[in-house]
Amino acid sequence: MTKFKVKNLIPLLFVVMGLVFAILGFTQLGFWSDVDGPKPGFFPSIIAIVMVFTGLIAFIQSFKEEDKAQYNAQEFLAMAGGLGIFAATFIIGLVPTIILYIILWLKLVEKASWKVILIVLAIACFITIGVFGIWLGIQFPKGIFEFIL
Amino acid sequence: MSNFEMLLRGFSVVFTPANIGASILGAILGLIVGAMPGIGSLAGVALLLPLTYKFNPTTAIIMLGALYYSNMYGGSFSAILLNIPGDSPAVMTAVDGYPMAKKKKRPGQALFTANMASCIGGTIGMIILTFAGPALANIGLKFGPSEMTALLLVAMTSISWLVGENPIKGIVATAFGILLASMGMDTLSGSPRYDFGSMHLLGGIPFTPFVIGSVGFAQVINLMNERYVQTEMIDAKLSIRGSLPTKREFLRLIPPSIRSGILGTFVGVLPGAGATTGAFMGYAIQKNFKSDEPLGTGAVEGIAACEAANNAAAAGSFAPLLALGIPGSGTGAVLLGGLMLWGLNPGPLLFQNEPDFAWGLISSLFLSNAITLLIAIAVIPFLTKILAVPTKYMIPIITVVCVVGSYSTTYSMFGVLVMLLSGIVSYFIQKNNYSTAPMLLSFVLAPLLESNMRKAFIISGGSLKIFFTRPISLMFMLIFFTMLLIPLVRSIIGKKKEEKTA
Repeated sequence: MTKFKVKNLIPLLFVVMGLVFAILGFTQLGFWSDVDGPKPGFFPSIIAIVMVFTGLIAFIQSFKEEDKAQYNAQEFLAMAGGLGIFAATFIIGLVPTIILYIILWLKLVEKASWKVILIVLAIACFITIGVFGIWLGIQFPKGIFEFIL
Repeated sequence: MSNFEMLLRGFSVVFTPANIGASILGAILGLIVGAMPGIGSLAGVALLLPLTYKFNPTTAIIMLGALYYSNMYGGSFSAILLNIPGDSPAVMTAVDGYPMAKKKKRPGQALFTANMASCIGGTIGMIILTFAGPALANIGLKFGPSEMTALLLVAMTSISWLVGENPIKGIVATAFGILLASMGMDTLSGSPRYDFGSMHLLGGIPFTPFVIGSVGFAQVINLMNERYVQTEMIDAKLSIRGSLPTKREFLRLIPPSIRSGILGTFVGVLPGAGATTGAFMGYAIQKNFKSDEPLGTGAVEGIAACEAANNAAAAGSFAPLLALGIPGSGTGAVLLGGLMLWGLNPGPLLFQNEPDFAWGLISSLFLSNAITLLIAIAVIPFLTKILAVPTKYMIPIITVVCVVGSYSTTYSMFGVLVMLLSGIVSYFIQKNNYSTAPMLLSFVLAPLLESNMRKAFIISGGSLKIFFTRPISLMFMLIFFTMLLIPLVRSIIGKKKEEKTA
């Protein structure tokens, strides 16, 4: 029996998304009014139907095509890093999170020397604090400390 | 006023300290981003989009234009010195650039040839843009909702058809982008739709974080595999004086540069084709002409043909972008999104309603071309150091730019969440051979397509006839259906061939 893989799952998710958008478009938003013409659901519903059909074709094709996609645990580490920054920002704020992320990433993942870490940290701080914070005047979130302070 | 006079008026807009500074900054950043293997112009423009929020719309777009344009120059650096193209349009540059640098031990001359050809090709593209842009806009003025709908359908289909191996996947990615763009507010009535009860989604998916994630963060994830790839840098000390080509070499690069400049511009105007196709076509055409040395062995003509074509295509792609509001590539889509963020609506009326902006941008491309050439020559001695920066140290820096850039454009962690999710989704779909360019293009063009389609149906009272009774829309609809049918015909022919051989 053919194993169900990510390459099969992706078109199936597109089909499901198309179905959800089509159903909501037809039932909640409306498709056509004899007085006003196309309603808010008109255009997305048509596209959603196109997506359902092409998604189904892609789903069938996915069983025939060669599985070239290779997933590397390191790639998921990059995703985890990004999600970690997102979560930690709510606690300690964005700037401290970025500093912590750079140090942890370079020390634990890349096994970099402290000299390299300081250089990369200086570049990251220049971009974050210098360019975005001072030049563009962005106020970064301070996490729970914002409420304490 | 003639086009030439309008161009001079554009120069008067451009020649302010802020615009010249933005052009220089864009050129430097574009060269660096273009030279770094694996980042590319799309990610470069997306990552730097938040920086332009500081400027007024004209200065911001001048900077982005310079950045996009100089990226084409930068892509050739790593192609010549590392045999790794910095961007897909530079793939063909490596074919002759690397042998010239490695076997002939003339890396400086290869870089100089690429820079000169880029400048010549780009200048030709800009001259054609100066005349073709307004002419195209005049044609566009005749377009009603049905013509615009048909044209947008062609633009969206052509990119799904041209990018990637499987057009079905291209159409799926296009539909995905349109559905994501339809979340938030209805374009005509303003009523909420597909917000799934979320307050954040009421405003729709924010453009900049979505683009930064789809191309920038997705690229970070992909770069994880390239961290330990060993590259063989050309072992030579580069200097400007030592990089000057001989008089004979200089004369050899001019004819292919002019030829490819003209060809590349017209390729750039076509939706979906872009700089990469231009470079491939420029190189293919050059094979039919005489070269002093065979192509592929380090011929000056080979480097010149593809570099001139990709820069000309980059300039040419501004014609449909400004005149019709239709980008030819993913990068064009990001530029269009940038224009819309500043309240500018590219299209046939842009040259009439915003002449200072439209002509200022075209003039700025001439300025960027000259500035980029000077900077590209000036950085030759430092290139080996710039290219020696390990990818593994770029990853945390790009991640930080993605996070901070997404936050700064939305002032909300929702922007960061959108960036992360779009990056992860794009990573998975790219891994499975779905291209993100059609998704980005359709995300930007969807509101325009929807409003035109709905207006056309209101005019026609719901009849499809409106698309087939007017000559221009009929022509576009025929192109649209042909593009839809070609993959089907191709697969039937392929199956018949397989049956015959079996």
